Amino acid sequence: MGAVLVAIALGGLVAGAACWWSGARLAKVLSAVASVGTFALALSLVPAVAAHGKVTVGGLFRVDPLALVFLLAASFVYAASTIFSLGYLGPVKGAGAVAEEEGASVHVAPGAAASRRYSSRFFAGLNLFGWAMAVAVMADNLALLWVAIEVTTIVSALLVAIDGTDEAAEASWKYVLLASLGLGIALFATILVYDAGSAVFGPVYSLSYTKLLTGAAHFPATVVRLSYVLAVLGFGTKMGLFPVHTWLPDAHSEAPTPVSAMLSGALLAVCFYAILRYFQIAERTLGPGFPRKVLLGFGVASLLLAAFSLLAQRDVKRMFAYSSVEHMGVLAIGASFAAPIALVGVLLHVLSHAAAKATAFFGAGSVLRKYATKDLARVKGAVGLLPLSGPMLVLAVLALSALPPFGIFRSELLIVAGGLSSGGDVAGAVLIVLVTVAFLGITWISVHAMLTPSPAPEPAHLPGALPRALPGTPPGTLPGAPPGALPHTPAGAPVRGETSRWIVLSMAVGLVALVILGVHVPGDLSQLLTRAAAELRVPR
Amino acid sequence: MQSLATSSIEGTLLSLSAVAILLAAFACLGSKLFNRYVAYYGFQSVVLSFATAVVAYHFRSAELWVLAGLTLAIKGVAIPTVTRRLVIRRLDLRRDVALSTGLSTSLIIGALLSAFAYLAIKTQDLPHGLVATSVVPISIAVVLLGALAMAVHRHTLAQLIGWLITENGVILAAITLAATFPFIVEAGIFLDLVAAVLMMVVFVSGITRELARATSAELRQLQG
Repeated sequence: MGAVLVAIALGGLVAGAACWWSGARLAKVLSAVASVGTFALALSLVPAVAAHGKVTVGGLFRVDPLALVFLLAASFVYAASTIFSLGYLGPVKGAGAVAEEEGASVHVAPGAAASRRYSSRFFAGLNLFGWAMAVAVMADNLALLWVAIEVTTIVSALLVAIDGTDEAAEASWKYVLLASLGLGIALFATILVYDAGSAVFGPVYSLSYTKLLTGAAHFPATVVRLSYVLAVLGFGTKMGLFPVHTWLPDAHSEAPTPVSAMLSGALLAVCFYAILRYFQIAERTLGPGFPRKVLLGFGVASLLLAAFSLLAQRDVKRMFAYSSVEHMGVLAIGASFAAPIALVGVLLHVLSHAAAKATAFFGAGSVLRKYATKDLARVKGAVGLLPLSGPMLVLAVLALSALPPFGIFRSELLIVAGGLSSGGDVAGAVLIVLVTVAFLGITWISVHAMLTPSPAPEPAHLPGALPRALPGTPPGTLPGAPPGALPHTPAGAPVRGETSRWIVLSMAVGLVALVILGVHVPGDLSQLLTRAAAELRVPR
Repeated sequence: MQSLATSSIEGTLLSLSAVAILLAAFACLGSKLFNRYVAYYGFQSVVLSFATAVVAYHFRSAELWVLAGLTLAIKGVAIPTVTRRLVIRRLDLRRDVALSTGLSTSLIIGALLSAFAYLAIKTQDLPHGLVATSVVPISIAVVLLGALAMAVHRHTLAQLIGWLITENGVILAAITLAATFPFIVEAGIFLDLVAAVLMMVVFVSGITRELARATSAELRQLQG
């Protein structure tokens, strides 16, 4: 099985490099093969890892159940985003004239006008992004993990800025600056762990998990405690935990949609994975109390902020970004509960959140291709205009709000049940209340946008819709547009119909995965989750 | 902890360098003129390079010699020179008026952060007689001061240098605590250099050309 890991570690890199020098068409084929291949290879690892515990390649890579859960999440989003991109970069079918007003910051996919350079660069970036995340998860070494996450920062910051608008540049700048600061702190944490380990292993050794976990019980406590807090803060910056989440809504809303999906569905989870590795070490040195409390604090703060920010959002991608902060908070809280069932819930949540958030972003991308706007006040009756991706977006939003029969319902149920059973009554109650607030915010706004009937052709006869919208209208989104007008009404209302088959396919795949995770987790996967959850607890 | 002993000459030099690095971080925080801000950063990097060389000499580590050379060349000379020439002269930026707090306030916050660094690390729990016991709190303080500089300065260039100051703090900790780490010194530092270069490129040309002219106080389009 080691060959599979090597294949994963080479696939994205080779495809990314090849895309850079190839034309748009070849780049699309290469990316599709590489990304779907990566996901298929990751899936093929499930039975072996669930049965035997781990697959290793030398001292370089090591996929244990915990790593495989995150590898599945990351590679799934990578594959789905690539499929989505095939449509996203194609021509827009059946849309009205695209808004071209001066100064309009509408986020339009480059469409047919996109240069071939754009496609090649975009796919090269996307592949390298997916590849770096896969390597981060497979690495059997804290330093390599850090390096791989640093690579994701560089690649994804360039991808955020790829559209070249002022807002994208600003978002990218904010992102790269904060993420680098966080990673600087994470590097500090890595150095401290190395220092702690040298008390046991002597001055020269490699930072492999296997080794660290065996010796962690004898590490000096002060150094490990400091290292753990710095790791949570540092990687938490990229994961979107509360005080250091500020880059996230900007980057998610300005990036091209497939990149937003990768950032939100996969990258945040990979950074959570990094935190969990430090958690494992800290748990062995310090006992479970302190590491859990730190996670609980960050998690509750993030959830609190996100739940109430969600109520105020108008920009659809920004709304999903805050929803990511919310779900990362749920993950942190879940990991702070001691019960094994809560930890299974956390890992299931990683998978379901990846699928749900990617699908939601794809739906948002589909809508904004159609309407050429991100302002939800302008989007009315999207279900009527997008016969397939519209309803699927509604389903994805419902899934994100933890409604059955989707995976997030099941995972949040497990987390709450675990919290209540292990004595975290207060935390469990807070979790339920805040998740409900977030549910209200996200569902109210988006269902309103999706299900309200399309506006009548005469915008003047639209009472109520616009006065509410104006104060919250972000600058740059056509401030002078008449109330209720779609940006492109003069040239003809958008025609009913999908803009691309690939978009529909990517969303359908995501929903199917969500239903599978929600209704019946297949046996191997279920075993994998149980084993991975067991890894998060100190063996007694 | 494979740190130098406080009593050795190398240990004394490393401690003194750490103090100079901390002072340089405060000087950056307190300077309103771009030229000085950049010059203090350059000075800090040169001292860091010297400290790296001291540790390299002690451990006879070729990698650390390389690191010392790289730090001197890139952070001590290239970044300050390029910044001064390309940005300050060309864009005629003399004073950074876009500060979010007054200088005295930021210096006081900086002092509080340094005190916090000492409290947070609980030096009494660390082994005595090693340089690390005094240098690690300093490096944490430098990281915090760099982050503070990023928060106080509104200009993107000043924020970039604030980030580079935090990196200096991290490297100071790396050479003190993990001088024999076989991997991180090369890979970690190399990537930092890549990131630094990338940020310079991004900053000086291409996508953020507009940002160079705008102070980020004007970059308020993305809020909420």
